[in-house]
Amino acid sequence: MWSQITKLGVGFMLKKILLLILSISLLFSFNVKISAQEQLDIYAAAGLIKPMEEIIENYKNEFGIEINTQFNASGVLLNQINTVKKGDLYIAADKWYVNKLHEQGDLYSQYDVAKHTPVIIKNKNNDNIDEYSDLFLENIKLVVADESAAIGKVTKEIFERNNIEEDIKDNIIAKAETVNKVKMYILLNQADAGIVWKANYFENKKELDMIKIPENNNIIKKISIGILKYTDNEKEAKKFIEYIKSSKSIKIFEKHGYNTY
Amino acid sequence: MKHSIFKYIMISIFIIFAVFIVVVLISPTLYIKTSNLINLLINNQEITFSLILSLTTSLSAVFMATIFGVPVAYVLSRYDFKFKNIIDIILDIPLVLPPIILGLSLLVLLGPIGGNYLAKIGLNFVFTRLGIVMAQFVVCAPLLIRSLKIAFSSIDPKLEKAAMTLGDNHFQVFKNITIPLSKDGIITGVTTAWARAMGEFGATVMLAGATRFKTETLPIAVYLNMNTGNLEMAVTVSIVMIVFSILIMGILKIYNNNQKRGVTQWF
Repeated sequence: MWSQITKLGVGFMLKKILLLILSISLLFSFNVKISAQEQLDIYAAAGLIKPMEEIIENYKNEFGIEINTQFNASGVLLNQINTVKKGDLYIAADKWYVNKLHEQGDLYSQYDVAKHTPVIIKNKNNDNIDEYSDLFLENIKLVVADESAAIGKVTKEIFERNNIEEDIKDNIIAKAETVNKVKMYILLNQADAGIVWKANYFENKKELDMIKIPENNNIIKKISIGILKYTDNEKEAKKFIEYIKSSKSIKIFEKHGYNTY
Repeated sequence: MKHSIFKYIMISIFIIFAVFIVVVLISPTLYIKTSNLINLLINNQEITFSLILSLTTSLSAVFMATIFGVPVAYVLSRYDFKFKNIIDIILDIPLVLPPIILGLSLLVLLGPIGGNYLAKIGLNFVFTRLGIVMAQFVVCAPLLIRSLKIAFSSIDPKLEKAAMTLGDNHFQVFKNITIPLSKDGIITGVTTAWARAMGEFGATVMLAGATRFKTETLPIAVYLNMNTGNLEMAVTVSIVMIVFSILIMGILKIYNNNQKRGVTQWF
């Protein structure tokens, strides 16, 4: 008899616990909905992850705003923005992408944050290339980014401008989706060289060697941020842009190896 | 009364689920005009390239999976040995691991760790078509082994022992008794493994990369075209894969139904 009573008791207890868990989770989901206003959705180029994560973390701590960041190739983000038509801010590794939105009339305002310089990187244990012109030697294995990434696009532009696209085509063994992936393949020493932004080299200068692209062969790009017309929190977005202009944020960019304006 | 309410609920849930799956599979077709679809299918070189690449790599992968899978499944179903349970579990793990993790492991093993040695004997897996085959192999082989293990285990060992008393050696027993009796399981297993290899994405991207017109299988073609905002291309390739899957499953179903009918006639 006692066993039957305890079984009933346990049954009730379990039901109460379940109800409690359910109501708490409902409360939590409600909380998320209420503070939807106090939230920023940012699309950020994958290569900018180091400085952006730090700046966003500082902003969150200072102002208590929830920030969702999507890190991906600049071109992929642009397609996302055009498809979902949502979001507050877009920071691209090449002003070209932000300008595209401007041409479509989907931008409120824009600001140039820092400079981006393409460089060649190689693994410290790899001796197959020494300078820019070694890139088009035979049997050199090169990894570049796909054209949907800003670095991939500028790599293509550099090759075209210097008329070496045909020569170098056979050396490209793979195209990675983001600049971070290019760097990863070089860190794993799976290619003789890769082309990334100087700041990306800077993040791993212990394991990587950098080879400069000669000034008259190179193309410098501008990192640019814009407020999307789809934003439902323009005031907060403007505040974020002011924050990224501040000397505190500029110092963070410089700390990670960027040249600012 | 109770009986029919139960039946009603079961059938309703069945219909809801079936309709849901059908709608999901049909959705890509609603996003593209038939004329564009046909045009892309006939003229687009990227689709032709990825289709041929997918077919050649997946068939190679399944072939290799069969070469390894048959002995492995045979040993697992016929012999007992110490630690068999642990090995059984280990060989099943690739089935539950996310393919992207298998791909990462392969990348590290065949790249920085073993790449140089393998290159000396002419094997290059990173960023190559061979890498595609390897990635598909690692993903589909465990699936094939599991099906084969079940097929072999379902044969009465007495039949094999009887054949041996009548003079067959191990190999003859395997060739004349085991294989023919497990034919259905083998065919189903190989077909499912092939379908899995055709659809392999995560491990392939990791090991072979996602380079257009080089390591671009059908799933990777969808991925790359979505990345560049080329929705019509991505949808077209998706439709190709959906049609392929329907054909495979359809042929398998017809084959199995025929076999069942065949068996009833024998006995």
